[in-house]
Amino acid sequence: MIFIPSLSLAQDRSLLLKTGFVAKFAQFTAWPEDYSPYSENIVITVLGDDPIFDAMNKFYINKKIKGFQIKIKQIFNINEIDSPHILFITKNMKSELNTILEYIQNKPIMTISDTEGFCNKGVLINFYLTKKGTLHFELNYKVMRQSNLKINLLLLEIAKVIK
Amino acid sequence: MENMKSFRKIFIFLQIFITLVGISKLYATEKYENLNPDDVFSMSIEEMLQVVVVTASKHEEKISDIPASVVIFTRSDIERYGFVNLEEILENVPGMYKIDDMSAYKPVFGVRGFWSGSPKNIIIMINGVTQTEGIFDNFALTQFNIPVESIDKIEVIRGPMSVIYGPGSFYGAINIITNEKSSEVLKNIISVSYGTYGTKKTSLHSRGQEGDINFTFNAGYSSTDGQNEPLSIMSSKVDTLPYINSTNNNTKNRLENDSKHINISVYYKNFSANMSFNKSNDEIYGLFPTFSGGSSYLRETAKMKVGYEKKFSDFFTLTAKATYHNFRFRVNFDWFNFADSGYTSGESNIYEGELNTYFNFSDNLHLINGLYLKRISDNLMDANLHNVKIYTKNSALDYTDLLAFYSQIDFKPLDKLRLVAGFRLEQLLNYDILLANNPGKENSYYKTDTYEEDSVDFIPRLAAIISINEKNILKLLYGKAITRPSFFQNTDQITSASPDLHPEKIQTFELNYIAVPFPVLTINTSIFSNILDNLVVRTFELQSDKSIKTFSVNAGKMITNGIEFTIQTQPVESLLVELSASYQRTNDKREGFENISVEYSPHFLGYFKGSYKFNNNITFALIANFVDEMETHWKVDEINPDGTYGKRIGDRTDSFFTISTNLRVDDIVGKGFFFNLHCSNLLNEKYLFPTYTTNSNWMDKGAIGDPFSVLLTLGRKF
Repeated sequence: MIFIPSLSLAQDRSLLLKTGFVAKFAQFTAWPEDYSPYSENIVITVLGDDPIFDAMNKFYINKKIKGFQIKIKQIFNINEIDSPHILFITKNMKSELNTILEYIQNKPIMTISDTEGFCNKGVLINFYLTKKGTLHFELNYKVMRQSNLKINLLLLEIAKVIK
Repeated sequence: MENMKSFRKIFIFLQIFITLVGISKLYATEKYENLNPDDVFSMSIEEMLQVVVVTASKHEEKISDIPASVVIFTRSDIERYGFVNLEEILENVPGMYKIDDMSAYKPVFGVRGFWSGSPKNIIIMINGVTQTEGIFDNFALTQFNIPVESIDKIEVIRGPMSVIYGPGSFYGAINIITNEKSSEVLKNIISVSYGTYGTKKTSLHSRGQEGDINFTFNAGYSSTDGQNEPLSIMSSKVDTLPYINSTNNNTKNRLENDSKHINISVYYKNFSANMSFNKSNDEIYGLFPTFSGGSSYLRETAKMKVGYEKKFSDFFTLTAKATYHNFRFRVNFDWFNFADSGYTSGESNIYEGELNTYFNFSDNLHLINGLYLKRISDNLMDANLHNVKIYTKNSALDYTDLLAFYSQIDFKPLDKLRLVAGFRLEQLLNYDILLANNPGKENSYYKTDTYEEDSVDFIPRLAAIISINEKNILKLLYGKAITRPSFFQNTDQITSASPDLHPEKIQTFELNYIAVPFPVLTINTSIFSNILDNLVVRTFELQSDKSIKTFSVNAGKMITNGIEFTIQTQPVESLLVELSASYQRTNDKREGFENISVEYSPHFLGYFKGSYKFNNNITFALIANFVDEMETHWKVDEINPDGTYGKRIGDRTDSFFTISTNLRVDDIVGKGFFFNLHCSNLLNEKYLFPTYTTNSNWMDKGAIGDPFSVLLTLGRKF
């Protein structure tokens, strides 16, 4: 029986799928070999206050991506961005988006969001809802080309590409 | 009359506003699916892209944002705990308890200390179709016998919900969903069960998609022989009961039951259709103990709904639906020294129409309007009880029309504050009733009368949801609801030449606080106060010839204050634990009842549920329930030896505690086979339900509670 939020990931299908997609994106991406001091982990940092942090914490318990443990962090200031593999930029960081993207420029960080307009503004991958009520994602091709990430072409074929 | 014309004009004008009632969709989140992290982790990206997270006409809504106190059971919850029927699921909703007095309605649920004897205080719907009928206006579970294997989700929306759902939702609404759309091409579940007391069940759930057509098909059959217990457990008068002897002083083969249910849903683009058929035959005890094989209550229902939903733009969505209901019943009585003591029977048809509009002004402002019409026709009840020389035929001479308009605004003035305000205007139009005593006989007597209680009822609700932060949410809820007297109650009033009954009323104030101090711990607390007024109660008058005339009046008033507390925790992925406790005190505010404890109102209710998953496919669950002691009905016209009036119709029943267990093994040999072993009342606790007026002639001790039972189920998902 479920009647309270955030107890089980099944309680929020959208959050569940987003965290699942993030794992898929990581599986289809290769980071530079010399990147990140966290050589035994894949680090996902959530920037801002959002339930996706709790969802990820629960989702990734005892899970591995490409043999690596997954470590989730939450930060609230730009200057706390360390060297994550994935940076999830939450909706309430909208006013600081440009500053964030400038801060991490040239770093092999996969940026992900779920806010309308973020992909056009320079976030690599952004989630959106289709008319059918399913969850989909758009990918900024220019940002992808400029980053040092090697993203499997399969993602390109599936995503809605923003050029 | 002028008021009626004016109100009809208002309805015509209001037809311009077309309303969206996916209210049930608006508030019923689809988030509580049977998806879990392991499922998602193993899905391909293509599969994940097919999963619907929201329906087209609503935005995502967390249960914390729903302006009501909501409890949801998903298919995986039902499978995890192995609930064998809807009764068992509802027993594990905070504040709910059942009393089964073995009479017409089988189990009837009370909520937060209030139990009225008939199942008409919570609306029950299947896929949005109300499971009511036009004669008794009630929602007996045995009218639809939905197999649990069909259920994708149950939403229990607690609190007065008359604004949205109309009369009968005194304590809320239950929506049983069996037709969730699926992205999978085909999915089937078939199962067979066998258990103690000759219990047999079989069910089929099938759904799929072919082009633009989504369909779901559910079918189920169940039967049981019922318990075999001596009547002396229920009655201290067995030795003095006429025609009761060693051959019939027990319940053996006198509580049999069988039922069949079919439910079909089809979606095609903007259209939907739903059909259901149900036939059940329950052996009951009605007024007197059974002489022979058993008195039986046969019910047949057929329901058909067509719907249309279209999102014209992000701003405007329209839905419409039309539903037809047919209900037939026949009770064969087995009394005294006749196996066939006569019967009562009846039939009714209901036609419902609903039109709804949803206006999305912005992310922070929505407006919902609805127009509703219900027409009950061909109401007919007759009785041929030759054993006691009662012959009647009662019918409605014209249509019974119920009209309603409702509107609800949903406004979010601040990021952390959401306000909901709504109202319903409802009117039941006058209708004529014909009573015929001894029809066709020499001493026949006919009487007609008009039910004239046609005032317009204004039903409001207010809700404020304050998101203190993501981990703490406060809801302030106020609502009003009404329950109208049924056709059956109104005929009874005419028979006794008593005034028309008015709708019963309830007002609820609730403060609901949800706290998530840690990701693995959730605490839900509700403090509530219910004011029930105009309750229909029996009273009596001493006549000049010293006889007593008993009849119903709207004289009941009760106030309930209570608190509910529930904790859910999942300390590790495999272990889920839930603990709930409810305490309430109800006071009868009628004059002279100050020192009389309220009947059928347990002060304390509680349950514990725990489940542990081994190896991904084996789940063990433990459920414990506690129900406090209960008093029986206080019969006002019962004469005491000292000449005073008023006494209980039966003994107070003790509190009881039951434990059930469930073992489920899924996906056996990787082919989708599953096995389930469910034990109810594992410790074989002997307990009684307090007797109700129907069997108060003889069942003074109470009706026997559910015994120890085992049900073994085998099935396959493919």
